[in-house]
Amino acid sequence: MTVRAVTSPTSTTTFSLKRWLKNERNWMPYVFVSPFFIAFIIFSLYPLLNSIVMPFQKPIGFEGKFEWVGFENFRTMFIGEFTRTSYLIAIRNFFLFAAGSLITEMPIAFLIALLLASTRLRLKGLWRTMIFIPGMLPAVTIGVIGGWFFSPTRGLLNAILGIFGVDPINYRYMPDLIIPGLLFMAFWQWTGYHSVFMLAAMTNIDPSLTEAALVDGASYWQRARFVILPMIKPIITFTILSSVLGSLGLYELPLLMYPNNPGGRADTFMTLIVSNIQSFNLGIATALGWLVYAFGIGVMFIQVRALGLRRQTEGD
Amino acid sequence: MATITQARSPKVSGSSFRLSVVESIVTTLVVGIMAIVWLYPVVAVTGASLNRIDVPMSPLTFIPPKFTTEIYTRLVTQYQLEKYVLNTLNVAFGSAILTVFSATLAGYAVSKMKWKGRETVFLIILSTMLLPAQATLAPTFILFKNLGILNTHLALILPAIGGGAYNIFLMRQFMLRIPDEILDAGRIDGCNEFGLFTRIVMPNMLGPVMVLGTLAVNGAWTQLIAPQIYLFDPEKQLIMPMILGMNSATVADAYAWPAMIAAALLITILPIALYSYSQKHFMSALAGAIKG
Repeated sequence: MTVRAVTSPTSTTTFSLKRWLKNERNWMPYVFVSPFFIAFIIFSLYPLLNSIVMPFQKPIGFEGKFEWVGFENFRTMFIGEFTRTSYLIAIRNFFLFAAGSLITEMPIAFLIALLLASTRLRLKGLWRTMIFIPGMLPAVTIGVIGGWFFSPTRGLLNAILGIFGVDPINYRYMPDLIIPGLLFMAFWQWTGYHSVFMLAAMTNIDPSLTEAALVDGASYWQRARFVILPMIKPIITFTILSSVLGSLGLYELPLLMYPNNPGGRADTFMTLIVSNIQSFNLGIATALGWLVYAFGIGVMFIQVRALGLRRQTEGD
Repeated sequence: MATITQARSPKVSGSSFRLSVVESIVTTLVVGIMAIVWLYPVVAVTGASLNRIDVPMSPLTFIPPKFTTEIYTRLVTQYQLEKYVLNTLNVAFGSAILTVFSATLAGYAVSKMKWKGRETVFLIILSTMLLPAQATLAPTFILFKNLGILNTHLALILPAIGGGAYNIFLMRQFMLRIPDEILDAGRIDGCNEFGLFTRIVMPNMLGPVMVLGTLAVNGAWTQLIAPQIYLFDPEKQLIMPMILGMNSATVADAYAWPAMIAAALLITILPIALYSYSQKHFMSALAGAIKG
């Protein structure tokens, strides 16, 4: 190494900055982590501090000037006659979508993972890849395919219903079918994805465990329920958490599948935040962002309590 | 009990061997049909995008009655898809290079170097993952405006200079697998820390670095909200907002709908290629991250 600093005589008894600096192993780590902290100060800290006051402010013009308005933004959001409904709908849609996703995706994903893990199955890799593919697609592509699937004139669903003599249904004007439609596409996108993760966890289970259960006379379902399911609990916990947090960020699917927003019922947190930013209601957008954050923290808290994430991590 | 053990060892008797073959065929058929149904929408949509626009085509078939690539040609000639693809690649690779560089450096520092305050710094980095990303969208808009990078690609590239807390965590998990002995040997031979990083750590971390690069490129490629908010010049717009824009043009333009489908299919090539390239590392990376 040619870039070694030239040694110079320094005092050897007291701490000397010069000596500290001379040994690069002292300060190199700080250099290595500095990009993170520089970016943090510029791109995170300032917006974070600003986001605390912005819900109480309103922009004046478009030049970045603000005036203090107190709780007006919150009043507009939750009491305002014309806006209240859309925010309540976003909250309602979050709960329906998050709960619906978990109920539909998780049990089926577990069953598919069991099937894929079966020793009787041939061509495993092929089937696994095929059901994994929707999970790799960008959300925009899923939304476009969802728009095609539920299209009144060219859609697959109406074509299938047509075989049974059902007249074409115009899903774009049926507010009650928004959440089921979104859930259907989310199911298609994520179930295979979840089951591949569960499958990966299943193949890591020590085979002696299932063999021991077998010797004890456990049936196939008993083994699945009492041996395999508890063993893959960490990955299921992770999957549930990311699924619910993903529901908070629901955005592309409603925009692409229900661009006409029938009955104003296709609003989600993210569609409202983005539309408020685009119409320069920055205070409302930020207040809504904090609401989403509160829900996210709440979800994590409930998960830690209910599913014992803490105990598991301590157990490791 | 007896039946179960028999089923597990197919060579016990002729009848149970035949039974296991039947079971195998049934299982494979069930899973195979399911997988084909599962993927049918993608195939049918691909077929629809290759059909002539004035010839009706039932969604129940995936073979276009009149085959043509006109829609894909129009994506370039009429909708200038290539412009948006280049914009997005510019942002994606710009931010991915910054992410990989910063995240691997920081990941190395918090895993393989010994220094005062390492654990504290790592905890601070991790805790930034809990920051309210949705609440800072609007303030970030003001920040970019003040920095003068609003409506430029830099607004989407520069924030990646931090590497991202999750990526640093991911790299740390990988780096922990490097034995300290190799690094100490390098130190004794007089290699400086940056030299250790470039000569020992990076060559051993090519797989994880590809995972990180894949995640970063894919994240930037599929982003919709950030370019929608921070870019408003159509010349600079990225691919996802462009496809969303086509969705609202379907009433006035008969080609917009099939063209949107074709574009939505074309943009999946990059994510699928990236994933299949780094699939092995990808699964082990996530598994390691969850365990840790």
